[in-house]
Amino acid sequence: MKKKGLETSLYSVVGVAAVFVIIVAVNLIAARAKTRIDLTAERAYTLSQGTRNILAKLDTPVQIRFYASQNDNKVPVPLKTYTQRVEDLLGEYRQASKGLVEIQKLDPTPDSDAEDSAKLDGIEPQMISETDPIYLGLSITMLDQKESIPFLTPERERLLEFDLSRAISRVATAEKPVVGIMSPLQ
Amino acid sequence: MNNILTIAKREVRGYFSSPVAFVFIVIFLLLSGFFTFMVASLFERGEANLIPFFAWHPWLYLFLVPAVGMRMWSEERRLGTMELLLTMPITPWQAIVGKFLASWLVVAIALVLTFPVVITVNYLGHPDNGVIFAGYIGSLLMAGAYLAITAMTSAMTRNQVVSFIVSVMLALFLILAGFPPVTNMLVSWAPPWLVESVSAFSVMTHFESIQKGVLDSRDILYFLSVIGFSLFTTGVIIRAHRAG
Repeated sequence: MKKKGLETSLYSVVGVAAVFVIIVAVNLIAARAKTRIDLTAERAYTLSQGTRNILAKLDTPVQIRFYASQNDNKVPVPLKTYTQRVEDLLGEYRQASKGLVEIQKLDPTPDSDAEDSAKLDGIEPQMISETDPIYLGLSITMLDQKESIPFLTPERERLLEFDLSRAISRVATAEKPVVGIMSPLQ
Repeated sequence: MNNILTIAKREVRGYFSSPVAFVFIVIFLLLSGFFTFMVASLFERGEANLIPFFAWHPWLYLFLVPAVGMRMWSEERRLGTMELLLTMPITPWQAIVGKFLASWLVVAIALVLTFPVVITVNYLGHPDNGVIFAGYIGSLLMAGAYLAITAMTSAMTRNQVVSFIVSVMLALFLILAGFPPVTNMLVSWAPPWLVESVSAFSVMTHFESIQKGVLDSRDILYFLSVIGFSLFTTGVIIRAHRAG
C-alpha cells in the first residue's frame, strides 16, 4: 500500500514535469507561426496598403541586413524589446513580399565580420557606456542600390514602416523619374 | 459542461454570501482609482489613453487576486468537504475548472466595474478604444494566470495564509523574471538561451505587448499555458491527496 502511494506521487511529479516540457515546447513552436489581431484605431501594427503596393511591385530579391547587438547585459531593456518589434515588422515584410524580401540578422560584436559589414553599410552605433557600442540599424540592398538606416530609435517607432518602405522603394526604382520645369524666363 | 456551470454557480454564490467578493471588488476599485488618478496623474498627463490605469494591474492583482483564490481548495480541505465534493457525480477536472471560472468571474466583475474610467477618458478626449479593449483582455488574462497559480497553491495546503504567501511568491517570480536584477543574476553564469527563456516566462513582457493594442497569438498562448499548466498541477495535487 505504501509503495503504491510512493509510485503514484512519483508518477505525478514526472507527469507534471512532462506537461511542463510539453507546454514550453508548444509555446516555442507557436512562436514561429504567429498571428496578430491589430486593434489599434490607426492599424499601427499591420502593414499599410502603400507598403503592400510597394512590395507587390518588386520583381527582384531585396536583401535587408538587420544589425542588432545581442549582448544581453549591455543592451538596455527598452532597446531589447524594440529590437523584437522591429524583427516582427521585418517578418511581416517578408511574408507580404512572398519571399522576395530576404532578412539577414547580424550581431556586430567587436572585431567580427558583422561589425565590418555594419561599418561598410554605414550603420552607426550608439555608445551606451564608454566602451560598449550598441548597433540597431539596417541596410537594404537590391542589385547595386543600397539604402541604410543608421540607427533605429524607439521614438520613431510609428514611422518605422514608412522609413522601411521608403528605403525599399528607393532601391527598387532603378531610374529616378525626370521632372522638367517650363518657365517663361530665359 | 452543465456540471462545470453548476459548480461555478455554487462557488459564485459562496463568494458573494461572504464579505470576500465585496471587499475584493471595493478595495480593487478604490486602489486602482487612487493609483490611476493620484499617483499616475491621469488628468495631468493630458493624454487620452489608459496606460496609467493598466500599468498598476500587475501589482494590484499580485496581492488581491491570491486573496480571492486562496480559499478555493484550502477551504474544502479545512472543512473536510473535499471528499464530499469529489464523491459527487462529477469529475475532479470539472470541479477544478468550475471553481476556477467562478473566481475568474469575480475578478472579471471587478474589472467591468472600472467602466467609469473608460467613460471619463472618452468624455475628455478621443482615446483609441481598440487599445483599451485589448488592455482589458490582457488584464483579464493576467488575472486568470494569477488565479490559476493560486488554485494550485491552495490545493497544496489547508492553511489559507500559506496558500496566499506561496501564490504571491510565484506570481512575483513570474513578474520579475523579465526584470534586470533577475536577468543580471542569471547572465553571469547561464548561457544566453537560458536567460532569454527565463525572460520569456515573464508576465510583464506579454502583458505590455498586449497593452500596445495587438492581440498576438504568442501572448495569448502564454497566458493560456500558465492557466492550463497550473490547473493541471492542481488536478495532480488533488488526485495525489485522494490516493494518499
